[in-house]
Amino acid sequence: MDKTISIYWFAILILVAVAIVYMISAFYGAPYDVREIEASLISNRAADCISQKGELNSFLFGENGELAGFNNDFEERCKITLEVENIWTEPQYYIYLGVFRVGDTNRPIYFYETGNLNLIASCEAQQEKEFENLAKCAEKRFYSIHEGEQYLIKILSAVRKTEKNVK
Amino acid sequence: MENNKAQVADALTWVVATLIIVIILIVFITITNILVKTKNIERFVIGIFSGDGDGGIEKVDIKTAMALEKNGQNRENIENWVKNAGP
Repeated sequence: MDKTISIYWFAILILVAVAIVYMISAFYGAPYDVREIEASLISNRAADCISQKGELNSFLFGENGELAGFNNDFEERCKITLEVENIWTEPQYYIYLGVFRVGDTNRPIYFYETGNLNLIASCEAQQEKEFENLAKCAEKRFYSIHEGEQYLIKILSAVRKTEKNVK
Repeated sequence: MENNKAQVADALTWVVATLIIVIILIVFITITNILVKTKNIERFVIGIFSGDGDGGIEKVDIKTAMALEKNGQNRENIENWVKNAGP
């Protein structure tokens, strides 16, 4: 009888130990989803690049004072490196930068976009409800001036990296 | 099989004890799975977005405020448009 009870207790002990190990590995094995913060940081960095103290940077404007924008040197000028890992087969980021006049916010007078254009659909799909397996988006809007002219700037950034942030 | 009633009672006690242990384990595992779903780091990163503008990360709201101080025309339209930013 004692032998039976000790075998039983051993079995219970193993069961409890397995449950504890499972709980610990499940909790600490689950990744933190930092994509929203990452997208927000990218937007903030882009915003800092094009506007300081409420004024658009002069490198965005041509000699005649017209808005020329970036000359395919957005990442270098803004010191943003989007592709730092070689494990992805396609770009995991998307950045859109649009400049609008105050009177017409439907059509940008200048826009620049770079990265994986397929991520735009993820942003639109999540306007009403968030889905974990889609890219996370962050939109920043602000107002800036340049030589008396008023500009509205919209920056949209999206980060995918689902495999690293979602279990 | 005479005089075995006490042994049956013993066995029943262990069965109930085992069931209680299993139920408690299931409850704890369920709580763990719920905690995994609600894992977030928002409370740790508030400081990242509170830059002082001098070497730190300037909030975009500060840019709008500074621009409005310099040129406040169409303030209401601008503020409404800025407020309607997405997630």
